[in-house]
Amino acid sequence: MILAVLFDYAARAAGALVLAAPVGAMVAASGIGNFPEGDRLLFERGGLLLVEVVRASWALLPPLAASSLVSGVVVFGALTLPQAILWSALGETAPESTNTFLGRACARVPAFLALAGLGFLAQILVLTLGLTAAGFLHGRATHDEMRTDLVALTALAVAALLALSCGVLRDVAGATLACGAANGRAALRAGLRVFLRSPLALAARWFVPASLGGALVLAVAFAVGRLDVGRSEGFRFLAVAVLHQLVVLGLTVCRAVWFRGAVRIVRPQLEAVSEARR
Amino acid sequence: MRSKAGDALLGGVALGLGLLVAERVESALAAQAPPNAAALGSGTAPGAARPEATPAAALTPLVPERVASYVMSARLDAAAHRVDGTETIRFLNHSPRALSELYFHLYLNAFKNDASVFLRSPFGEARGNLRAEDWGYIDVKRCTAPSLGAADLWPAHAPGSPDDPDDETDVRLPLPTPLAPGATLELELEFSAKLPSIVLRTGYAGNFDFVAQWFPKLARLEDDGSFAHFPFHAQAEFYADYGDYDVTLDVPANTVVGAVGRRVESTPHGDRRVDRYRAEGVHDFAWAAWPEFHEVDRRVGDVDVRVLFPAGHENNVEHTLRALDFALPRASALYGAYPYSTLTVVHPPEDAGEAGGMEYPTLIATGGPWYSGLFGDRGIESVTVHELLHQWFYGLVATNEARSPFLDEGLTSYAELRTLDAMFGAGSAFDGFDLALSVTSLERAFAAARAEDLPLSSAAAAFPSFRTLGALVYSRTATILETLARVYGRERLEAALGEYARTYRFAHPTPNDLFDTFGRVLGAEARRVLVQALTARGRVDFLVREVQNAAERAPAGVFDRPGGRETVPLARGPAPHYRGRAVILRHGELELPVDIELVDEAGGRRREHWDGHGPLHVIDYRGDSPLAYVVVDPDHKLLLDDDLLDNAAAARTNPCRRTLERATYFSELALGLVLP
Repeated sequence: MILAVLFDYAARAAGALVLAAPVGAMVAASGIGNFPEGDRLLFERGGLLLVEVVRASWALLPPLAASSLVSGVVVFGALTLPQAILWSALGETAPESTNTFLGRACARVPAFLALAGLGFLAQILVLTLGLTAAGFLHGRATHDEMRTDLVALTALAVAALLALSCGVLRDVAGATLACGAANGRAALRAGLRVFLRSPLALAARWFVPASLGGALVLAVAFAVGRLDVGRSEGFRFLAVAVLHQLVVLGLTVCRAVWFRGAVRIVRPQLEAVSEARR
Repeated sequence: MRSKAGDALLGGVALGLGLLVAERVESALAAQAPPNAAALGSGTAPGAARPEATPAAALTPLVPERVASYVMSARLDAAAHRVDGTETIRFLNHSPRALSELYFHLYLNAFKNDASVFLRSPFGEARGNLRAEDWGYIDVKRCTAPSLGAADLWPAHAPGSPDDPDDETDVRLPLPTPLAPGATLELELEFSAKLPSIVLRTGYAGNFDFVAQWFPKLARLEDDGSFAHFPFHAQAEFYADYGDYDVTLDVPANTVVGAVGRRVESTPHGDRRVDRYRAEGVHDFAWAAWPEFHEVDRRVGDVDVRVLFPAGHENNVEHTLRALDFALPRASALYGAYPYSTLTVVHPPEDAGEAGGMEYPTLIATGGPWYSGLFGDRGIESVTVHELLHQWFYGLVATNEARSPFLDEGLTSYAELRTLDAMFGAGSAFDGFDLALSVTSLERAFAAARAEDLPLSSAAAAFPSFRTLGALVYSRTATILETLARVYGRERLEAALGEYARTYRFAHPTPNDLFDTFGRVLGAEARRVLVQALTARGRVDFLVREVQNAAERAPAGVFDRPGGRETVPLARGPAPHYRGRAVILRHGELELPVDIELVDEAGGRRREHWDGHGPLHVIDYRGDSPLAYVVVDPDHKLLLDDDLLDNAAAARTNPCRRTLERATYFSELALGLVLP
């Protein structure tokens, strides 16, 4: 289980590095590395050289975004394997050999990929609809600007809540897959049943690790602000890098805790269903 | 806490510095700049305004010369968004020529039909993006001059721009009898102004009316007897003579009015109310009317500040007042005392946002959403400070905004930049989420983006788009002045700008007047740079072309010496000394002095100075450690430099590890959002 979490973290870090490398290369090509301070200048207050690098690299941003989209899809697909391993570890009811375990996890990769892709598309769709609705409501501007904005914001908040629910549903479906659902479609159906039957229990299981994760991100953002890598001391960079990776590791652990909570809710219900069928 | 304390400290230091400069200039010009408030209200006789004591003072009216004064009476039809009015203009021919014609600007006719110069301008590229959905226009029903008889003069009017007869914003009115030099003419006009739906400064949105450029207005009479008249172009602003305005407004009783000048009377008449406003020594009159305005009054120094705003904008009011508390005394100290007793700030409702971000004498229109500033942006402070500073560079120094927009917008942008930097330090544009951006950085980037498009001293209508005008007139002028301040001394530059503002207070200077003032205070070299940068697309780009290194060892090789041939082997191990060479180039026309920093591998630093003359500068280096970096302008004084990233060269480039780390972290967070 711990190994699965660490593997998931390491895989995400590697995937992120793949996505970030072109950005690093673009900035390096700007010439900022020729200054004695290197890219520390980009983090100085005032942002003189940060703005200059953005200006100099502006024309590169659209092709960079396009290539990042492609590599993003690849990374998205590749990270399904550690996800499948994590889910499989969480769904394990009895010890099994490494080969058997990995074979089971790999066999589930297509189903997990389908669930992840479907969940992502559903979230994008919901958010797009939310944005459209918010835009429509905001377009009916009145002199009461605050009210207009708050109405639009409410539409967005509802959309965000729905998108979050889509994510929870995807995870619950993942849990059913981990607990033995035959394929992605069966997992989705079973997950939807559990989602509708135990929304509050799921919300409670989700809320605590999600809140902890959010708090962790905010706390470290605050700490990093205080550390100010725009200043020259070398330890600042190291400290920030370590803090950031601790956040990502912490988020991975929070996610695993939520997955385990979901499995604990899903498993008895699935067993009850199969018991009833027998 | 640290950041805010640092900003406050920086702001305090800058303000102290500014006040020190201002105090110096104040004392030098004390004789010319007594408090104007009393003089403004005295109704000085035309022609008696300019003192005669010294040549410098001859340029410095203590009070404005009242060339065109208006007494107006107007009734607002709030439902039809129409203003019916009468005006009496008292016009002084201060020129040495007899005038056989007058020129009027009927700016509202810009929105009358698609044939106007304004509506033929490419929208989306102008100051705003809106095109009027409801036409606006002004009808002059009658114009008489009692001293010339009872006949209506208006039927004889003709287009003021013969090469553009379709435009009705510029009108020529022949006079039956020439007006002699020094003579005064009273004109009586009756007019009806229909407001357009809100578009660029003027018009209505719902029951909100911003009534600007709404009355028949005389074009400015230049000193040589010509009129500065022009069709109203979407990118251009205004130009007019000083005078006194006495305006009576008849509005619905529930309407809250914000107007130029101070309200001297307010009388209810059933479901209507009649307000009377007086403004002395100004060159325009505008007003806003809306029943839903909320109001906050505050005294800042000697000025009664009145803020009118929509419901829910209390947060913005706080930001506005904080900006005024800082900027009004600062500007008074630097550019001469604010001479009026009132300042009205109008924050239009969101659907009338086009009316915002505009200046009128003693009246400024701001703008921005109700949540401005909550997330670290300085939008409200920026627009407030900018429009406030126009009280000097537009209001008190009344340049031709159509012909030389950089004289008002450019100087104002520089003064705004300095004020915001003094107020907020490095986070003067944005300070939040671990990111602090300064206005200076942003203005520099905008300025560099379109540096070569055309001379930024061009007329407003000559710019191909408002984006180009904004980048050059606003940002590049500010960047030029900031560069001069950093190169020739901030105190001297502020003194130059202060002297310009004081010398030409209540006057109508030209670009040459600015150049000459800067030349006097900053010197001939700075003047040359200023003129080149402003009028001749002057650019500069310093770059380090190469860094060379070689170990300096004892000579090795085969030597034929008197005692016979000797072979000296190559020395091994670290060299005792190193020689290096740095080649620095200057591209562009502007010759600015610059520092060059040499950094060796052991971290040792030394600086050289180059006067910037000639296309290249070679520095030969000798030291105990190899030359690692060469940096031109290490203190970033030359913000005008086209490309800051070629200002350094390294023997070995630094890896961008901070960027990679941050990009990786954000990618990890992003993956967490899209993946299970």
